[in-house]
Amino acid sequence: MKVSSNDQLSVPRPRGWRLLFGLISLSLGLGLLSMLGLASNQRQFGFSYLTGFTFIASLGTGTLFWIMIHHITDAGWSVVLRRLLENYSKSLPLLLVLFVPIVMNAELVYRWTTSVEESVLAKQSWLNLPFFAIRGAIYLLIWSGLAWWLATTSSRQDATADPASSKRMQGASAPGLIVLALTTTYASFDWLMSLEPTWSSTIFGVYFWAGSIVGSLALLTLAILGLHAAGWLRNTIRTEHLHDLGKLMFGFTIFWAYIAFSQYFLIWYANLPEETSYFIARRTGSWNGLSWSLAIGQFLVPFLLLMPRTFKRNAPILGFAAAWILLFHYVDMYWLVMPTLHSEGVRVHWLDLTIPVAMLSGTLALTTWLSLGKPLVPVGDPRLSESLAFHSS
Amino acid sequence: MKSATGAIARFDSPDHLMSAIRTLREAGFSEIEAYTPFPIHGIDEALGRQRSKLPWVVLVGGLFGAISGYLVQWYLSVVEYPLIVGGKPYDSREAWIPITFEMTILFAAFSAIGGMFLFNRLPRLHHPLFDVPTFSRATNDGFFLTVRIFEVPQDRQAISELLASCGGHDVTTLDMED
Repeated sequence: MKVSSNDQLSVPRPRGWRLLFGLISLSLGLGLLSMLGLASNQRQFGFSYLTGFTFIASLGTGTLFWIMIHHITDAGWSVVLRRLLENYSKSLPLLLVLFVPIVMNAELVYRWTTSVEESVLAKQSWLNLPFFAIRGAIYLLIWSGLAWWLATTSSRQDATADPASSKRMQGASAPGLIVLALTTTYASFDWLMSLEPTWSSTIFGVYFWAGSIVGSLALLTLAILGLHAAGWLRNTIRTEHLHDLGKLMFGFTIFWAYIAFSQYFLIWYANLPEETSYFIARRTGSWNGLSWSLAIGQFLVPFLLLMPRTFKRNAPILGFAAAWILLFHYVDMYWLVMPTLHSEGVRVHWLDLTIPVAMLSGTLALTTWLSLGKPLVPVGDPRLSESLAFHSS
Repeated sequence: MKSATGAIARFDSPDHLMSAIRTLREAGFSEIEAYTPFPIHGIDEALGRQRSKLPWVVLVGGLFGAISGYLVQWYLSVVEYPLIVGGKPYDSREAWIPITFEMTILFAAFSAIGGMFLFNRLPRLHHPLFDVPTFSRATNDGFFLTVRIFEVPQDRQAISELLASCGGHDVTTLDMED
């Protein structure tokens, strides 16, 4: 199929290699620096690492969610965006490696590994280290498998232009989404909710998922604006597509706030001591300030920024909103993890900066490496011309 | 109510219609309206349409819903009829949020519907265009244009010739009420 836009559809090698080199240096440099933190304060490292890991994992699962949602709804408008999502989702196997330190540091981070409280011991059949490690590996293998199958099937379609491939991916996305929803929920229970082993919230998985959806959209938007700034895909992914990404970010910002408030509201109303402990910890001292900053930063600011049509169609404002959302998605993960370590108040450590940046640049480096020299849009997708001509209203 | 005279013409295809719109706008006519059986991409821009003011009406409606929803609950539970419910303080702000949210949505939706009716001057049971015999084809295969002409009678002849020269059929003049 002939693409009617006049863009160069793959990243030219010299610039791609330079980008890759920069990302790898950043990732390795900050990674090695973080090792110093591991040597000096292992407990802080364990918690900072968990924050960074869940941040990166949520971006990966959010990306996978969007790929399958586009398939299952047979979306035409978003075809030009899908390859970028697929390329990023291919970095999910890296999380298998990044998961190893989580297991190694588990005894410093998760109270249930050593606790002798009766209420914690009662959960031992689920919360024990070997099963925790196996479950984590299963989630990550499922995500990686789904991501790679979808991405390679889509890449193969570039040459064959076979419409049957689209149907196969659509068919796989239906069970895929169910599996993703279940594994993401259990992963958030395992990695984040079990930090407080006596506390539970049935909506917690949805909360984590809502953040991952809006965070991965923000990352996609920033990636597109970055490619545009470098001069690529400007006539392929146009203002029309960015406008719709803005609408989706706006919608899922509200969705996140809706879920976050629902979780808080039910616990506040029922007022049961075993449930309220979680929010008492987050509403005392400087943690209360962070909770408010989350409500304002993850909801109010993007809500107002993304409301006007002109703002969604303005690349600098949309880019600012996306960067803001991504930052506050990380603050959200910090808010979930850190009160367990620093119950006395918010104590930002330099590791909280170096670890997520090292991990994000690592996944982006892998993404860049895997996309070099290949088309950045699915050129064999039968709906590509529809997507190129897309007109947002 | 200001009375104005207009002209109407039927075109065979969206392309004819669009080129007629361009010709008329170049000739200096600005109050042009199109009636087509299906939406045509780019026609709003061609007609020089401003974007609707409806979002602002919805914003005001939403804000009114939010503020009134919050205040009603606060006034009832704190000032007018304070009761302790579930051991919570009178002014339990968390509890006001769901209804505040629902009232925001409700009034935003009301103002969207109401504003749409207002801007479209609905309900309106009759329109001068319904007197044009072929106008029912606007829901079938006819692409119609109307142009408003103010005051100057010789414009009437000029506009009819212009519409016919663009490929318009059944060119007629009509009285259009505002």
